[in-house]
Amino acid sequence: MEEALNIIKDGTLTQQQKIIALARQAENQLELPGLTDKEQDYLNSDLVCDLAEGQAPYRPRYNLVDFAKFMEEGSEFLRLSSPETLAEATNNLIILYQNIPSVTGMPVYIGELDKLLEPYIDSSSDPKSTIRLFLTAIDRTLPDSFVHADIGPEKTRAGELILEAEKELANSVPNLTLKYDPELTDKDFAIQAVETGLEVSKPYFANHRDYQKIFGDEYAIVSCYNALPIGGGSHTLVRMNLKAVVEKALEEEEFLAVRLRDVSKTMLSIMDKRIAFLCEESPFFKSNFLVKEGLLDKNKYTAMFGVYGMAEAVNLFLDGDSESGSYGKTAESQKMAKNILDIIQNELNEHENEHSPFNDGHYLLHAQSGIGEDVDTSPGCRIPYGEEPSMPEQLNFISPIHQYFPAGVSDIFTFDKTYKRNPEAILDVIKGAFEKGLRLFSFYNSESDLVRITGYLVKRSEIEKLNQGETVHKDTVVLGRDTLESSPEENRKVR
Amino acid sequence: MQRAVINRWINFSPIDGPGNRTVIFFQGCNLNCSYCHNPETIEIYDNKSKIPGSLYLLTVDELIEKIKQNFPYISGITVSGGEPLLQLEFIKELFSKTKKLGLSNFIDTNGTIPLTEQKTLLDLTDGVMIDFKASNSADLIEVTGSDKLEIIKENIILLNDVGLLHEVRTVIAGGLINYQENVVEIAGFIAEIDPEIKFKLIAYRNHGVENSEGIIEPSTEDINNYKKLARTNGCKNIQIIK
Repeated sequence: MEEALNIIKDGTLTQQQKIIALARQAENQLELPGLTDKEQDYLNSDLVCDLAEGQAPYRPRYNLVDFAKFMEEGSEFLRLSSPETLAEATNNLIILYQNIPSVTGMPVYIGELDKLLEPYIDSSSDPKSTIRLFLTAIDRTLPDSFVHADIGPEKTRAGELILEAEKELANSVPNLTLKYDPELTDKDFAIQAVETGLEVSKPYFANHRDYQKIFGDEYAIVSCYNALPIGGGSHTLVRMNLKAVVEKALEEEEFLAVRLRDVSKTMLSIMDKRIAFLCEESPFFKSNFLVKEGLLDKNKYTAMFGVYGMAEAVNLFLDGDSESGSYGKTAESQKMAKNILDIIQNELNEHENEHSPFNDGHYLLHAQSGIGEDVDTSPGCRIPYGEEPSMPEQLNFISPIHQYFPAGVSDIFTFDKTYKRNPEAILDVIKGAFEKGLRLFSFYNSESDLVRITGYLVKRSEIEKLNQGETVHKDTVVLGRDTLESSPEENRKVR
Repeated sequence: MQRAVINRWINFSPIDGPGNRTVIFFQGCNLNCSYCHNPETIEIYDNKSKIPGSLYLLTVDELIEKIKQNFPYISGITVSGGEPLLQLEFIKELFSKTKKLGLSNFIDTNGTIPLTEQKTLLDLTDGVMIDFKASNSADLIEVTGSDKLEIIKENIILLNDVGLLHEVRTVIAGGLINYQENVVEIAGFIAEIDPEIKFKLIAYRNHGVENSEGIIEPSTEDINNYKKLARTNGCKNIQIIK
């Protein structure tokens, strides 16, 4: 109970942040049923981590509401009919957002906003102003940087207005992705997106052609940079610390492949038990209006199998030192990373979950971006900050590795301000990287106030306020501060 | 097998022509500008057996091998220096190969190598950035140490005629010559050819310059005034680099 009291007494939390923290605290008084001693041991060690999802999952972690259906049909539960004007459309969406569950209490996906709003642009007398109000409402009512919107690949009037407004507003929410395909995305729209990115560190560029091969058109980039099917989502995200797996294998003097298979199987079983509770004990898929109204479909759910700390795992294994080594610099280190991922993928291929029909019941691999408490491990498969080789070498190294992660992976690049004069230069890099297989390209200008942490945006000025003991509106500012302290993104090489 | 003396290259550059480019800095220059930012690239090595270890002596294929990792991510290459056209035959061979690889070829030149007889080179070239450091012989000698005014003017006219003139550049280095007069005359010359030619005014910066004594960094106000002056004298496409 002391922890609950600490939450209540914490002067840096907003009321909403306290309520969410207290709810999590209450949930964690329970115990997830059915875990074996071994599974519990792995969760208690640093091998496997359930990312604070809670001990009694009562909603899927990532829900991608079918907003197109909502716009067409409205919602009986919310007593909303299909909108006829831009103001009605944005108002309906703001209402729906408040009713979408997730682990943070706020939606991780808020729609392909350009496609949703485009039909109402022509009849609006001042669409720009309405879109500005809409985006401001999102930033202020959903104060969580994992709230994510998508645009593209085609250029639309709504898409252009969203980028314009985002550039002017410079808000950290929503996170934003442009689905980019050089053949479908007009160059001037792509350039506008690059210019916006150099000012406000968003949007991401997602390799649309590549993601389409996995998901078809019905996918979205959500939360950090997770790729998931629209109308469904991911029940859970559990992650494996690859560095810890290598440490364990070395300590026990066993083959790494053996330990990798063992930890993978254990983690898959933990995920199964979480999902079993969610789908069998919790009434979510029976009672939630989003499911009942067809805005979420159980058949479109999967689960995300996260890995991180690849760089340190490979360095430790090949060079005997996790802190510095050949990862990112040699073909051998790339081969080793691929071998590790092949072994894990094989376990995923052999495993099926009855409650996760998407991808025939096989979970999807995800390069997890890390959390604030992570020390001495790099996000996903990234090369440690400051250790990056030249940019072409880095891109040639990581792009093939991105191919292992259907459910999301990203790399972040920092450019100096001279690129503002020539945004096309960044577009050249993105195009080349996508041809090489890179899945998600994130970038920002080294002087921007909005800094891209592992997979979300935080304002440096807000971190400063928090450090002065002030309450800040966004929950992710705390995460951002902790992550910056334990693994300084400031060390990323500026290009 | 011809070889070039190369000082270094930059894998990705956003400031040396359109899009992302790999820039190759050739060793050796026929000028000696008082404000040169790359003085280490000036010395010409005729006897190629005696080049210092910090430089590269490469065939075209060897150079391509070293930069080919960049090709998926760039629009093309830019040759710079030094004065790249001092090693013209090498550049022709290089350009013919990069062209076949689907890359565009740009030249960053001081404008002093006559281009009138260089049809093969120009056929392989997609654009040229050319310096126009001063508008009269006396000032040009003051800034660069030699008088190649007529060649520079002829080159600018020729490049514009064949559609390869990407930009004309003037460095504003206060205290060196009278830039009021020079900007007026250069802008007038450019505008008469075509007011839409990109005219880039580059503010001199002390950083990296060996002999900066007596040269003053222009203020923002100065540079903005020169821009106005260029506009008054007919240029419509002026860019300031500070």
